Amino acid sequence: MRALTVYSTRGGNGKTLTALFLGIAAVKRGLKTVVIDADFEAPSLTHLLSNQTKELTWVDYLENDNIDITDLINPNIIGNLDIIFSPPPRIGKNFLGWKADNWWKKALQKAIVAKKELELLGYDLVIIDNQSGTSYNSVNNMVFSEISIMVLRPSNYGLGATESILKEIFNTLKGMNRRMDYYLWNQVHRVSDQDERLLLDQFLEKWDDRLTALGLKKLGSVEYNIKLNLELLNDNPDLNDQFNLIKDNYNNLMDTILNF
Amino acid sequence: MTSDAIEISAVILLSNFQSIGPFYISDSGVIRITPDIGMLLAARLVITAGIGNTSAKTEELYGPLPMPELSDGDYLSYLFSMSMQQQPIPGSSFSTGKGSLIFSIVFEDKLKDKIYNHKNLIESILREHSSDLNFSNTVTGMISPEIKGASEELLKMLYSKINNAIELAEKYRGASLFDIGFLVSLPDELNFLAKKLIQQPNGWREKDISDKDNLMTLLSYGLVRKENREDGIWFIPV
Repeated sequence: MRALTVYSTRGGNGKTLTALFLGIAAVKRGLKTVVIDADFEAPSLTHLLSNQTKELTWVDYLENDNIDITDLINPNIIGNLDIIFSPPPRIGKNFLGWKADNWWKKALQKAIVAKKELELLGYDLVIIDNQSGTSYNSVNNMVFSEISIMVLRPSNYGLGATESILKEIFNTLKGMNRRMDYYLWNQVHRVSDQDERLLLDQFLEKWDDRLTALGLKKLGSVEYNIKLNLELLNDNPDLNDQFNLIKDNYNNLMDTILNF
Repeated sequence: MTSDAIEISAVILLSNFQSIGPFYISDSGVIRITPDIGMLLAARLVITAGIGNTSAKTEELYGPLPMPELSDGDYLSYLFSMSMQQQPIPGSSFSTGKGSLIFSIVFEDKLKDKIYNHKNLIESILREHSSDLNFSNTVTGMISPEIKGASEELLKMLYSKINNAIELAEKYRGASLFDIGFLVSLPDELNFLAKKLIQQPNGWREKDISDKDNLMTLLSYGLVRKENREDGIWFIPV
């Protein structure tokens, strides 16, 4: 079984859709896959997917010793893709209270135990939709996974501010397990003007060098898709249909991941 | 916690334990080897080294071997290393100790109630260095300047190493390897093993951990727990 986490250093880069599309790509090739929404500050899957059947969530599992992991798994939410949800943050115990006492230490212990249990249940792939930024939660999820994908949008202000924090994260993860840390350019503009193309290419090339120097490997890039973004304006978007708009892109990404 | 949490004194015993008195280095004033204790010690060392039951001409013994005869609630004593030479009559109490070194670890008041928390840690450090002292060129009955000098150097090094380790053990008390921020603050050699250990929160079989020295250090710091299970000894990351 492989465990991968999709994360970014700030919100809005497309983590959740990347996680879901990778999950769909995986189940379409017959891999038993579950996506875990582990973004406790801003869980998005409950907003994108309306067919949640299990009340218990990832948070319930992490903070209780007597919950069976099968009671969290919502089967076949998108095709054969299973989902574990997280609850919206609530003031009190489940919000600021998370950071008290030994919550995060126990959470990491429980998460690693869950990983073994998911493997025993026959899963081939676990995908974590991680919390953005640097926090105990996001780093715990990186430790949980031997593959990480940092989703980036091409912009100087977003990347410049996070380079040093990335360095710290990858120093922390160094030696944690046999791992592969990727970055993925997401929503890259399709540019026809030659000067604009040059500007974009030079930007990407500069950051390819810097990110590679940090030990990350380029997974690929996904172009901005107007139709996909317009479809997301619907209340209940059909993610299977949307996947078909960009399936070649994601199938290529999945090939690279599975080769690790 | 300061670096004066403990004192270490060393005693070098040479030749026949009964007839030549101990030579003290950095004597803390705690150890007093009376003739009775000296006899007891000599007999015990001879038996331990197996001199009386072997035809080997010399025996080397590397500790740390706890010496309850020389320990009480305030301090611990260990036989650190010993080299003995068999005399013509096997088993005779005239078997000759070419040299032996005993360390006494004296705990300051503030640490006395924690002596036993730190035993594993101290013993693992002593074990790591127990073959550092070489008595092979020692002439029976003499304390050579080389042995004296080497013993003093060793004493200083162990003093510093044990004090630092105890300081860290106190600092790490109550910490958890599952606190990633804490884990990465550990020294590299511990950090590396700890990253492996947390991958199995339910524990590791002893045989699956090759880096025993650092495992013992984590154990003494309270960052790993030891459990005897039906299928053997397990170490569980805390």
